[in-house]
Amino acid sequence: MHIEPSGLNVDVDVEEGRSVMAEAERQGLFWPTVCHGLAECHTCFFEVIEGEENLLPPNALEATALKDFSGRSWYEGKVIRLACQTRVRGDVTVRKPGVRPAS
Amino acid sequence: MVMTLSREGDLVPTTQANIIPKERYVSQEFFDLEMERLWPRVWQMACREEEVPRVGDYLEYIIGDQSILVTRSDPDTIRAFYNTCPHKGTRLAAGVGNFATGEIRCRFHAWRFELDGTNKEVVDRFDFPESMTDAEVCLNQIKVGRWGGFVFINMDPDSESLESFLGPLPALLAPYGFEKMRFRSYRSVILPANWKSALDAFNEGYHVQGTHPQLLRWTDDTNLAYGALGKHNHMGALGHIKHEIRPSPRLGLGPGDYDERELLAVMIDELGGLFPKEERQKVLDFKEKPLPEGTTAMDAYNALRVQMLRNKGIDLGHLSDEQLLMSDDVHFFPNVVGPIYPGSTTLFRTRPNGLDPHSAIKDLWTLEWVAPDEDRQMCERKFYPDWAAKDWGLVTNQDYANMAHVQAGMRSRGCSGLRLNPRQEHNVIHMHEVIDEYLCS
Repeated sequence: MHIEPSGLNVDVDVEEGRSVMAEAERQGLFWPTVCHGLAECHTCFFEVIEGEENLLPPNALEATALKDFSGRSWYEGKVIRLACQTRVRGDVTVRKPGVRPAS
Repeated sequence: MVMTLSREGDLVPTTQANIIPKERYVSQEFFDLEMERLWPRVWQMACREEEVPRVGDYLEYIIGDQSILVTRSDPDTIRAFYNTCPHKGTRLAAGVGNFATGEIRCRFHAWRFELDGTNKEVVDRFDFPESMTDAEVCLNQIKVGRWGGFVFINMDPDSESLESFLGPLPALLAPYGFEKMRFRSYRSVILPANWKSALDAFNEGYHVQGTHPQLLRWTDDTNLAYGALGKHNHMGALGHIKHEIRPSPRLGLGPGDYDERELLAVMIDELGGLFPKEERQKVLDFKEKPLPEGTTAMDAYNALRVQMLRNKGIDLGHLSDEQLLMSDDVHFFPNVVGPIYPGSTTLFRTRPNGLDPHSAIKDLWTLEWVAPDEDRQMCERKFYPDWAAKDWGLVTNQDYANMAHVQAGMRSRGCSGLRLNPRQEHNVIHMHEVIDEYLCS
């Protein structure tokens, strides 16, 4: 998975089935979050630039959280997903400002 | 250190430093003390002047088991009476309405009173002892004070003046022009919590990261100022800090990691109803139109707000642009709190629901400046006995959903008291201290 604008990459191990955020953290990246995986803070959201077909469909928690974005004019026409819930099965390019190597 | 109740039911200082005794929220005895020593002696925001605009208009203000009749007795005078007939105690009027005949008539035995409370007729007075004086058969009047378009009542004839009670507030709040505001909406709900719990949730920013974490994308919850203003409190900026928008430092984002326009658009979407439609639309336009060089989205937004206020035709000559952009949350002791902006405010008033320490009535008042040529009529008052039957928007739903848990948890035998954050929950602690001034005097 390629992350803009930082240009960082995360190897997504399909077998492990970890969320994008959990995998990024495991590989030493900082990913903005407040609730650390409860799908409550909606802070970890990212925009899908390419490879949408390689994201697994949202689970129930994520689907509920995404309602917070679907009615928002700013995100109209964008594919928004939550990093703490989304699983990936192939190449994908996302936009998430603030992702950086963990200090 | 605040007061608690001993086993014997006496009011005593708590022995636990930095703990707010839970009895203050859950005990019937403490609630009864408030009914006896706080509510009958404190200035309370009963209504707005525009709720009784014409002579003869009345409004029933209820606090606990006490009903107060607020009425306009002549164009310039608003009076308040205990809502009870001196004959047999019958409640004289309920809800809101107008004494169309220019007098108050008891429904039971038809005693009649002038709008100023003096007795007009005791039916068959000749049957009563001659010793019964006119003063005895007048309505029992209580004190009224007016400030900023609000009508305050106080049942204590020996209370301090409203001016003294409000302390620094009128001077500080003068730029906000409360007297020019009128109702945009008036909604009331029943919440399953003590009236103070229902209030506290809007009197501190500490819960934002726990209850509303989605707001942290555009709210710096860590940088709010809290402070006492006499008996009252404020939370926010109050003209000292430039109105800025940035994510909470809890997110760990740097200045280049977010787009101010996005935060503004999300904030406006999120708070929806607090903003006029026109303002919402213009902020959303920022998405399409690039901002002029050297201008931040917040600069553009601030300019827009000032322009919109001017466009309403309201005279803003006495206010600087900076003052026009102030915003703050003010807690009017004991039971009203809310965010205040030049041009509008949303106030939350909480009251005990009857004599139940575990249930509160919360009124939501949205007030706004109206254009000079607008003849704004009083809005409909909507009442929602079951808060959960309506979608209030995510933020308010989150606050309301906490209420039953807060009250139930405090009633647990395992709850030893409230450990409040001395800085971020300062306003709540200060409210308890001021309550004690009433309970102990």
